[in-house]
Amino acid sequence: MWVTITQYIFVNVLLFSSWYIYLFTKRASISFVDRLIGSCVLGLAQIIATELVLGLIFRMLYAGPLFWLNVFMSSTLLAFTLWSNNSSTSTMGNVVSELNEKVCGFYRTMRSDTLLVVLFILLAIKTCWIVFIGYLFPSYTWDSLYYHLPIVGNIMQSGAILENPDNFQIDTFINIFPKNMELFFLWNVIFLKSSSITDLSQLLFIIIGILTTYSIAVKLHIGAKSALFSSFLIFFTPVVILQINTNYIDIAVSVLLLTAVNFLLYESLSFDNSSLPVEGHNRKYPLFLAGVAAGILLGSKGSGPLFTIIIVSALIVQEIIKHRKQIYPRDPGEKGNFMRSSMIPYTLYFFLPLIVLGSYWYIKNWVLYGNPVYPMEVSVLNITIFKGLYKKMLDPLPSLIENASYFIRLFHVWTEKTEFYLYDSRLSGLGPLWFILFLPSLVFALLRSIKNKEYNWLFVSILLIVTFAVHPRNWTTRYTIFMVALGAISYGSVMDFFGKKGRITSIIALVLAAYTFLTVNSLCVMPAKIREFMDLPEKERTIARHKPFNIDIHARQEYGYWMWISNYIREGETLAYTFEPLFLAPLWNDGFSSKTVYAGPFNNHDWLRKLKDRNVTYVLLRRHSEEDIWIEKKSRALTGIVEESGRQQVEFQMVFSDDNYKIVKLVKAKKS
Amino acid sequence: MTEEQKKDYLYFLFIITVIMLAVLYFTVPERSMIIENQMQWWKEFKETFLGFLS
Repeated sequence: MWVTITQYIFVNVLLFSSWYIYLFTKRASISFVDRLIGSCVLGLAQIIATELVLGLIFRMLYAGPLFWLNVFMSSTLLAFTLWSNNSSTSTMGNVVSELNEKVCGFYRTMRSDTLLVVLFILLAIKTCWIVFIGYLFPSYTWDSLYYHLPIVGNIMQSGAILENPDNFQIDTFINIFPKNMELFFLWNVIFLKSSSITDLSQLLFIIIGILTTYSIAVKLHIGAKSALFSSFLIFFTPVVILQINTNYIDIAVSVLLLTAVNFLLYESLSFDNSSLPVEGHNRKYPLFLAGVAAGILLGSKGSGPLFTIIIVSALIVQEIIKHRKQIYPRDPGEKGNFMRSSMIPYTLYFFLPLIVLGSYWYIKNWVLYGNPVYPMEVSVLNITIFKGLYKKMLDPLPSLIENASYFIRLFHVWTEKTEFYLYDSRLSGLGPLWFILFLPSLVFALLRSIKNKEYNWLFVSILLIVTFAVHPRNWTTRYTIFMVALGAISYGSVMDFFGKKGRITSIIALVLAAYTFLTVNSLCVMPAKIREFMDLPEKERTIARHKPFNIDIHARQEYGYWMWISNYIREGETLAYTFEPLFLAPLWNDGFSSKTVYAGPFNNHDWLRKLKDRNVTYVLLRRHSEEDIWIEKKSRALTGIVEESGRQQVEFQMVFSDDNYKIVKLVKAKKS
Repeated sequence: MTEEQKKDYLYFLFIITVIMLAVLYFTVPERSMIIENQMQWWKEFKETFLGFLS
């Protein structure tokens, strides 16, 4: 076990630190915080790119090749960085001294404000608690078990990124979903041979989110203390706290959007580079990082294209305004080379990484299904551009807001008329900070930026507000977490504007953060269950024992065989299922080292041969199903059935049975 | 009106808005249910924690 943990820590430290050291050499063009964010984004891009190469081209997406490929790439990058800077010792020394200096600076800023210290302590306590719960409990959320983790299981069992047969509706969705984020979940399983921390994957994104909010705030001329205070506040969003330890991807999507926007601020419209916390300005590095973030975002969720179109449109508008004199010169002297100064850098440094990291999933869908966003139909003005199965979202609106108008719907959700918070609550989740403090701050900051013609402010605000406005489900709070960041930055601006007078708003913010801290405990994880799980060995801390209330009513009939699978199915063994299960994820063992296969539809002529051809070890059956009746008929007793099949004889041995399901083991029997 | 006076008015307006929104948010009937549910959680936490210590 220690070998796998060491391997996991080593490859992560090497990967992220090599990118950080590389970006350190570009410190004249990128600020310290942006280099931290950049190294996370580039590390993530490397993980996704190496998994795509191994999974699509070589079909060798296993722990060994993935480890060595990343070690090779990161070592090469590190060696290149140190070699090209002549003195490797001084580079490393400078990296350490800069880190030391920044940590001291952070400490000084913190020490200067008691409220900031209290807020940071609350954040640190909650983070430790989330990590503890994430480690202790398996992934228990609906979509994780339904498709996020089955995507990981499918890739791990085949060592390749393949299309699966469309046996059930969920298989269609598993095939067509963009999978960048699932590749990151896989990264957190494959080396450890356990899924115990993969549900903490989004922790990385909230850290990036806090850094990005801070960085945007600083670029918008907000003071360091206010920027730090407001960036900490985004953490105190109920849907964020509850989603950090789930295999959902909503924090990641919002944070990647913010990250792209943050790096695009280097392309400032106001030409006022004093807001950029760097000495020089070489646009290609921030532009490239924006492209990488946007590329990861594009390949992470079906709404990625919408976000990308808005970012690209904003850039085009900004570039046209910036270069209007070159495009429409009043006199020949003003004529410049728009292509060279604008289009080429954008194509090379922004669009290229965007396409490389994000487009594969859509191109594949286009080739295989004739529609990049299959199964959704795409039509404009009643003209169908891409045919699909569905014209609108499958998920119906909650009845409470179904007939409400646009603003009433938002008002209902933002005032949170629910009895508890949930990681994917559709009627709450942004918390009191958003409604009480951030919303008026946003209006205030927006009006102020219009009055003072603060173009950077307007660029960030308009881009995020338009994204929010055109999102077809903007009342679903988990899809609009990026608006909380905009609200927090606005609040930072308000803090700065009112100065000492505004101290009372900081106290209000702290009280609301503390209220959120106390009221976002997930009712899926009750204290008695935590105590019970603390006494259990890791192997027994399963979803079937957890019985979280969010799935319990639907899943209680399934617990028996889920528990049996996690206890007994070993690495390399294959479980065949004969019906559409509630969730696919619990059909694998904890480390996704076993395999699953759908053994249907039943055909009594060659069913057994199919099982043998697929090296099936166990078959999961529904009681009284065709397969069950067939086995019963052939047997004189439930155990010890011997069935002739070709040359070999196969024995079905019942190993699990409850009121609803059976699992039989296929063993080669001795010839009688 | 001086800039400082303008700022005072804006500050007053901002605080009034925040208080109004806070009243609106915390007087929603469901708020007491969230608080009640969470108090139950913390009560169970306290009992479990004390049990753990002993």
